[in-house]
Amino acid sequence: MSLLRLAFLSLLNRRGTAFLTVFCIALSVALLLGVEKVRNGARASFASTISGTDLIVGSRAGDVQLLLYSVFRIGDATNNVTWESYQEIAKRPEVDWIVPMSLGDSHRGYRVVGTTPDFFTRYQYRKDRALRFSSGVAFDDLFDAVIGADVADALGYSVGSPLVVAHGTASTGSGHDNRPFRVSGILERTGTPVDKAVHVSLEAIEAIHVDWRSGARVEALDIPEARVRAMDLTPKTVTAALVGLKSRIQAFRFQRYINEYEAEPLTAILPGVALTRLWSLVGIAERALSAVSLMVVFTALIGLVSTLLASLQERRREMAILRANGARPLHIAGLLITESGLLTLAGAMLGFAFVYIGLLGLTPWINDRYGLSLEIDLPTAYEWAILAGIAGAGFLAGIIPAWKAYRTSLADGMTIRS
Amino acid sequence: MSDDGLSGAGNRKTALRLENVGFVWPDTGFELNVADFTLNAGERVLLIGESGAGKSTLLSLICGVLRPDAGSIHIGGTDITALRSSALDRVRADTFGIIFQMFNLLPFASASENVLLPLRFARTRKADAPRDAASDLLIRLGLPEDAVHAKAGTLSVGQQQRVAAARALIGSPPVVIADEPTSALDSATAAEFMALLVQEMTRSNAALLMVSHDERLSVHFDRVVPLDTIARSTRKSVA
Ligand SMILES: Nc1ncnc2c1ncn2[C@@H]1O[C@H](COP(=O)(O)OP(=O)(O)OP(=O)(O)O)[C@@H](O)[C@H]1O
Ligand SMILES: [Mg+2]
Repeated sequence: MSLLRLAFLSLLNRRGTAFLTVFCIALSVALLLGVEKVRNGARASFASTISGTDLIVGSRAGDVQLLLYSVFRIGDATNNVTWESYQEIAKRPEVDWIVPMSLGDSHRGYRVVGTTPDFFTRYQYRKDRALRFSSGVAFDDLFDAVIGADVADALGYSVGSPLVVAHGTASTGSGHDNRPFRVSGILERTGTPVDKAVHVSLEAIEAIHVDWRSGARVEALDIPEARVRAMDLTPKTVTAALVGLKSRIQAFRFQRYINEYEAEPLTAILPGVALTRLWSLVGIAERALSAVSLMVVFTALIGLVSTLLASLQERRREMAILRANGARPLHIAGLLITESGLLTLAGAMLGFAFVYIGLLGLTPWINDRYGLSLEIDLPTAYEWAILAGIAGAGFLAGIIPAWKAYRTSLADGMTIRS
Repeated sequence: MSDDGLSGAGNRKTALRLENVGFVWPDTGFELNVADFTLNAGERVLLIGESGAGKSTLLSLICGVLRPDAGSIHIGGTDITALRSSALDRVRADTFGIIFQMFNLLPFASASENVLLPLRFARTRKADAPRDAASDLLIRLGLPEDAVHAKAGTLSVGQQQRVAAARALIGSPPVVIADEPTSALDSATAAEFMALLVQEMTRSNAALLMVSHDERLSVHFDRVVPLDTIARSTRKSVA
């Protein structure tokens, strides 16, 4: 009869407490792993908020600031890029495609993005997913708008719904009530800021502002729609531009070219790099979460040690029998270490099972609800390391009761006085 | 049987010998001193003495579960007090079969698994035990066949003592040590148990050192040794 079998049989004999201990460890492991999965999912989703774009160009600003207003639509640009510069950049031989973005207006709290229809084919997220229309089509008419899934859900819009764009980004901004738009298309949910945006053409942004002079509406300039349509609506500026290069190798050289652009101060960022930097700023909470779940695992292991210690008294006879039949004190210690290792291993494996079963059940829902894509692939090297680490910690935790058993088995002799 | 042992005791090989052994229990200050005690190979000795006199302590010293503070204990040719603890544990596994008064078995393991336990730690005994030795022994000792693979905890006390005896005999160790193995049994069961044990002892030709209060059992033994004739015990007050 091997020590392993002995430990197993002895545990089976105390299956009630053993099960509770295993369950406790399993829950803590599931928590740790679950947090890890969500953390990775969140980071991956975040890092792939925008993909397929080689550079983002805007007026001179910090990397993170440019990323925030151009992709996340948080904050405002301090300056714009002139139409001339935009044109010149677009004509560069390295440039494969370029999509302008004109920001600064809102519709009932949702940001309005002036852009070109190319936006819907060029913007990608999560590696290589393209935007798709759940209904309708891209804007065609001057007063067409394409809205994100969240906008459609929250405001109850469908294709054909009218909407009014406000100047400025405050949700109660004075409306351009005389320029009603019409929803031409609704995008599928992406889990990116696109879900919360209203997309119109660059010309539409100009059209909204023909009545305006230096930020205030001039009633006298209440120009009828037919005249607006006839006007030259070429924009004077854009806020930022997404750039795709013919070859990615040129990204750094092209970035330097933009950063040293002579006509006006501009900044170009590589979205992946800027996203990673931004994540490292907001990632502190995420690390705190990991630390908390590690503490929970630690607590479960302390519970394990105390159950094992408590079982020693009633098992002194078992130890004496083993000793009398030739077991060395080290065998006795090994038995306890094996036992705690078995409990932890079982707990860790059960915890893994919890997480994967949970993922299988919940992933579609989480994806739908939060646009967070959790991967249900095989455990990563890191997760294997966690499993091994916890099993190792379980063996180590066994050392304390093992040492105690070692001492008592040396001192007890063959007859136990209790 | 007893006449054979008395006449032949002098020219037999010694199974074990204690000289000037001293031991003190640290907690209680109980002190045991054994000037000289010899057990010959194949000899059966009944050790008697008052309760608390130190009989169980002496058995623990002999089989090396406890280490003496002074003196020497020779088993075969070796002084086990000089051995490292790992070697001592191995000598115990190879030399002794041990039966307690009660609570001999791991209740969660089967009867046969309990019997095979010492082979897990022994070296020379392992070679002596054929594959089905455990169930053979158990059945010879009167355990019902269907109890061989039953959990030890489900057996009656009498059956448990048979399992303990089988475990002490498996692999034919040279010495069997028994600490009041029959005191938990009623007299009929005790008598039957002793008869079967002695029968198996004869078969394996092992020495038997047994502690008992029941002097009627002395018919099975070559010698009866009162503890106070070989040992002195005192109790120091512990600070
Ligand atoms: N584990 C122990 N720790 C400390 N002192 C002990 C221990 N075991 C026994 N003693 C002491 O040694 C003395 C002798 O005990 P022992 O069990 O050897 O007696 P015994 O002759 O076997 O008695 P009994 O016939 O009742 O079994 C006891 O009085 C006790 O004080
Ligand atoms: Mg005793």
